[in-house]
Amino acid sequence: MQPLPPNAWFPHIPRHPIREQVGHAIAATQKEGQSRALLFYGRGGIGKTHFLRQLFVSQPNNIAELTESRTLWLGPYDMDDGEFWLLTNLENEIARKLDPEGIFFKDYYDYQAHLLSLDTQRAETLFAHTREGEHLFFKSYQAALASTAYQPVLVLDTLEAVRGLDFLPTLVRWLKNLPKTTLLLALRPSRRNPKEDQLVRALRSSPPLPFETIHINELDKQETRQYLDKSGASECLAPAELQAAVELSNGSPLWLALFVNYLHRYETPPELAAWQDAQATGDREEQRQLRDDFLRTLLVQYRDSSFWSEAIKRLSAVRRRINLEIWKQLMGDYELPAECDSWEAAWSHLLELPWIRARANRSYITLHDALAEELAKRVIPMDDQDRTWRQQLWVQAADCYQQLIDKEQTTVSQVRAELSIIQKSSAQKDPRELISDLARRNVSVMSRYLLESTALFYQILSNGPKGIERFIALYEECYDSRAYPLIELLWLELQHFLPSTQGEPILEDLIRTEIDAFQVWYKSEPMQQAEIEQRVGRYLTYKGRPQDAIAWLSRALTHEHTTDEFTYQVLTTRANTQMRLVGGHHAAQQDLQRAWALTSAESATPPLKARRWEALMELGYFSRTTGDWDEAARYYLQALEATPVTDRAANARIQGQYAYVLALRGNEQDAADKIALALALARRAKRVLFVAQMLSIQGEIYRYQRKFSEAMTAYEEADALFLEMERTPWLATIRHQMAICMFQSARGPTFLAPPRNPALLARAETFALEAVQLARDTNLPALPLALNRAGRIVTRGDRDAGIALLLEGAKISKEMGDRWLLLANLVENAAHSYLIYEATGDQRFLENLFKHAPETEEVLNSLDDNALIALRGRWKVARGHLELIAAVDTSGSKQLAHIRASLPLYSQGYLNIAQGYPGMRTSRALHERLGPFLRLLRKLSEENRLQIIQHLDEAWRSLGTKHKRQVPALTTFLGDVALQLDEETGGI
Amino acid sequence: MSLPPVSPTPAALKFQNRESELQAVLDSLAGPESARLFLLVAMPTMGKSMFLRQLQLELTGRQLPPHAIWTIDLEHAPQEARTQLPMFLRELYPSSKWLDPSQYHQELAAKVLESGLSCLMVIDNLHLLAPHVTLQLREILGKAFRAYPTLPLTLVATSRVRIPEVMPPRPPANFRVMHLNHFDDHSIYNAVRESGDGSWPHLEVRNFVREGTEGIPALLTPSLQWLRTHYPDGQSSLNAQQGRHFSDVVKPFIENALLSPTALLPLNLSPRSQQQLDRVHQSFATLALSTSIFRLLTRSHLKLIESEQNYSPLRSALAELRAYGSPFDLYSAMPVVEPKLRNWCATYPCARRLYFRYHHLSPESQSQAHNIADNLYRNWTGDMSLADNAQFHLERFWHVSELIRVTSSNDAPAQLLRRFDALLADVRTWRKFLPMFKSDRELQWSVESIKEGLYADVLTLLPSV
Repeated sequence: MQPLPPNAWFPHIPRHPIREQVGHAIAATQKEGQSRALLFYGRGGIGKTHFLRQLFVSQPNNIAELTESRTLWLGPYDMDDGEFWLLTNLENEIARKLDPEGIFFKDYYDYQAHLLSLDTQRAETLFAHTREGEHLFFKSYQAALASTAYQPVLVLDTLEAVRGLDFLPTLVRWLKNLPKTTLLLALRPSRRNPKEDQLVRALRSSPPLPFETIHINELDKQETRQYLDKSGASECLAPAELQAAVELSNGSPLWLALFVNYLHRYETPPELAAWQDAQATGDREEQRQLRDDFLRTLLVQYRDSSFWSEAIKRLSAVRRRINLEIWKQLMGDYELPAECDSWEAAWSHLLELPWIRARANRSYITLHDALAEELAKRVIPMDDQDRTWRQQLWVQAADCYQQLIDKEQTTVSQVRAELSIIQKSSAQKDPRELISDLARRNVSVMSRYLLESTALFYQILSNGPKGIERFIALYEECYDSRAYPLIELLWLELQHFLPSTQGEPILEDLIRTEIDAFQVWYKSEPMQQAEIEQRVGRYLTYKGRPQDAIAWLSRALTHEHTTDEFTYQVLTTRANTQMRLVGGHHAAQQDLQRAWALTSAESATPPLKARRWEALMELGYFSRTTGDWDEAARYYLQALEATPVTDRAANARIQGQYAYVLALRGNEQDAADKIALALALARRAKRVLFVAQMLSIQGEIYRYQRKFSEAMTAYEEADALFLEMERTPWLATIRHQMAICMFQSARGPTFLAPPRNPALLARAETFALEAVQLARDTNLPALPLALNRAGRIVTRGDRDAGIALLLEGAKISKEMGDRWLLLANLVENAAHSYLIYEATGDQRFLENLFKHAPETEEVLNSLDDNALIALRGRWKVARGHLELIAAVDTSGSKQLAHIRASLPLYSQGYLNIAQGYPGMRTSRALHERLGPFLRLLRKLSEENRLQIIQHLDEAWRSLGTKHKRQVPALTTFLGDVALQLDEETGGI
Repeated sequence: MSLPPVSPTPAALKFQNRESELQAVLDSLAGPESARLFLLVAMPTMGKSMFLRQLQLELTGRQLPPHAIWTIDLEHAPQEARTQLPMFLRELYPSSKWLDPSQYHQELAAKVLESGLSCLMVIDNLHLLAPHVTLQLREILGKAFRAYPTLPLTLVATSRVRIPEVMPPRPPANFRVMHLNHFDDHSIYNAVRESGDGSWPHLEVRNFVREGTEGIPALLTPSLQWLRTHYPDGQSSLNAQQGRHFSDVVKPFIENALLSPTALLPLNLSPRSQQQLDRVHQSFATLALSTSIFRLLTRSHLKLIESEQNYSPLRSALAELRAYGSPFDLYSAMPVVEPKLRNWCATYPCARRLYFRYHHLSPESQSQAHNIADNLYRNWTGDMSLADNAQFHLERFWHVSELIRVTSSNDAPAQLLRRFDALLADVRTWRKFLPMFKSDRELQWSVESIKEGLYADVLTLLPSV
């Protein structure tokens, strides 16, 4: 075989009309300032990739004429390259191009570094960070555009590689956030639904992104002739042969390139002469056959086992990008061809071929997918009927990647440690140096992840069952080592193999046939399916996709022969996922009850029986988050009964939770006793973590009892223990508990009153914000409460910031499926918005209250009437206030209507508050909420005030024995209201 | 095995069968439009040299303008002429001086133009020219044609194999490769008729000769001579003579010619010692014989039969050959393998059939081989292009037919129709398949050998479209 040809043999045909369309689209984006997409559809080998790359070399001429903006070309990024399946990598690429100095993206880079240096056990927290990182990226992107006047054109190629994967909708959602950007998106048409494929659906989904579709077709005869002339092929052919070549190649740039290459090595393909005869007879069938024969002939150049033939064939099996090092290993059984004196020279030769795609600054390559498919169809089956050749290559590829992983001197945790140091010293560093350091390390971590996922890909290919075992092991390792981006990559790799509901064959290459074989095996292995489905479900829950997660988890429950232990795990996971859906709590409860029933069954295995208390704890937690504290207490009590006395650690955990719920119910003394017992158990069990956790709960109970000093002592001991154990996630919890405790003891008697202890209040704010940061970084489940508490504290000083924290708290709670904290944050938002409005008259806060009213009602409607009753009461009171505000501004029948509307809200609202703060706390809870009510009453006429007071008096006195505990407190409250009004008016 | 003598020239016979190839060259000499460079490729014993001789005879015999003819046969030229371009050119033009390599093309053109005649350059056994000299020659010819587009020069070369070095940097438009294959029925019939024995039933003798010689030109004369001795009266049963003819004429020919290093060893194969050469030669012979059951061969065939119990000699042979390259590449480089560029390789059919008869003497051995092949194709996965798939299905038909033919049972025709009907179930609707089936002469012959007229019955099984 001859040396490879120079690139000059494969000319560029500009396709002017399409270039013009691109030019117009870019100009329109720039003129209107609205992002838009151009979709390039074309079958494999039609020249999409070449066309897009040529745009970078010589951009459409008319852009300069149409606009004065600075067009910045980003990409092209090949989406069959796993590197970009982590959007962080795409973000980094774009950031580097758009802002090489790192001025606009500094916050983003800092955040990325921070993310890598985080030490959290919680997958969910890290996934939430990715979303935050995206937010910063778009902010920086916008800032960069505003300052540089760049008009970006982002080019993504080979999007068909992600069609059918759940990555595509994610990618499109991401793309839609890019402002003022022209998106050039190239892919093959969908075979299943050519008119509206997954990409189009994603672009049309809300909010839609305008797009136009361009079909890249075969070169026309004139262009084909141009290609043959420019390549020099015409010189080799007689005029009739040239004409035959034009017609046989059918305008496909790939086949033309192969034809040119063929001509340089062999005599004219025999089909050229035969074509002339077939043309003469006009036999269509013969012509069709000749065209097919022609293509087969052209591929004969890969029949032998010479170095270059084999190199290309091996790349058709090893489809993921490879670098020189891997290539050398893959070709290790070959000597270098005579024309190359080094592997580097051979690599350069390879890069010259038009069917080799260079990646990552020419350090990686892949074979053009269309050629890989043709080889898979026309050449490899001849060589490899028994499939041993490809299997060996995949085993070898997996080994190569494993060796690279093993060779990596720097482990991910080392990089994390380094990043942490860099970040801490960032103030002293030159920002550019810092960014470069961070980028380098980030790349190093991401590259490693990519190596791991690619190795897995080949492991599954070479041995499906073992590959799946590896996936499961790797998946669990990822959670242990907190390599969460790797989980994303593993999931994407796995999607290539699993039967897909919406998928279609991505490519018809060798991999495809192996995937078919894999799926046959996989479908016959229900246990493996269940294991995978359970893990995917868990992952999707963390990714914030509860609907999808539930589908997977439900599938995991459909298989026969799974163990009860497995079913128990899936049910528990599914219940926690169900809780994240509006209206999902009933299903969640059913799952938890089923799980509990499994542990309680007579036939339960001993390990499963031993989990009975866990099942009850889950039910307790469920009831707690839905505000049914009585039910929660009952479950915890049952859990205690189900736990052997000897298991001190379990006893301590349950006692702690039980005590906490008792305290929420108002049984503070009982709670204090229980927590003391739990603490003693934990101390006896010498479980430092449990001791610290019990101290945290004890602090909370003291705080409910307004024993702030004792509470702080408990908190501080817990804080010291968590610090000692380096339990950062727990620090988030203890810090927000300390913050709210300090706040409650330091604040003034009313919202506007000056604090009793300003210094302590300031410290409370510092602790609260620190807790938010810690929770954000390491403990997402703790974040809604941390935000709630920080919001309540911060609002005293910075109204907007405080409200923003509360609303974020509501958002995160909703995502987490915690309706208690969702309602708590919404009600605090309403209460504080009202207070701020009242104090400042700023309408924005009143509007904010109204804006979130429907959501608050929706949450309340989804709960039992008795659940979270104090919050329910506070919300009704806030609504009562809104009615009175309206009454103040109106008169006559309208005013009367508003007043009448407020009456049941107040009577029910204050009653619910009294119910929600039982025991000693009832009067205080009511009294704390007297001010705003009083001030509104003052704005009304005496007659109206009397009407309200009389109504409440009658309503509360007629409550009956059911509310005998609340009636005295309510009457006292009303008496205080009347008294204060009388004092002001001088009346009785 | 020792190196065989040069293939016997069937001097007693008139030149047969290559009329169209001959005409193409003659046409090119008559005008400047058509191809000016011809490469005749054929396995040994196919009459390449005879073709060249006939070409020269034609040039002098026909009413064409006078020609200057320059000839070199590399098999008999000095060794230096194969490895050094100036020596090669001096052999071609005995009295010439070739001084400046950069001006060789000018000198060549000058010689042609000075002659005032159309010139024919004849190179026999071009495959013996060292690759770098072939490249140099190709370059000076290319330059000469570019500088003088109407230069009245035609080159005709013969080779046992395709020579990639002839083409670079790219083949000119006036380049043509011609493959010389075995003689067809018509040529054999003519040969039989012209052999001069009027008492023979020509058609019957033609069939006998065709079956015995597989149309190999070099076997034609000895076979006819043998017939004159053993079938003088044209009366006795010819069929009964086949075995004897095989052992007297064909077998020695196979051993001396078709299994010779000349026929088997790829060019540029350089074993270090004679001992090694013998071993390698033996391995190639095993390879050629073991694969003779297949009409076409891929790497997969080699891999699959290597694992067959019956092919243990092949395993050792391949192990030996792996030191020299990929067995499949080595197979495809054997001079007895067709140099046509297809997705698979194939031994020249005439040679393959002789190898098969030589290797599988008994009907039992033959049927066992066909069974193995049929089994192989039955498990052949259809994950490939339709054309290839159709071809592999067609192979099954042929193996089944041959299997039935060699077992010669009483109900062979019915058995064949049954088996074919079952096989057709898979391919009946394939547009590509039926034309391929119908144009497969070897299959047709196989079916007809079972029973005359059986092929017509087979055709009735096919869809009418």
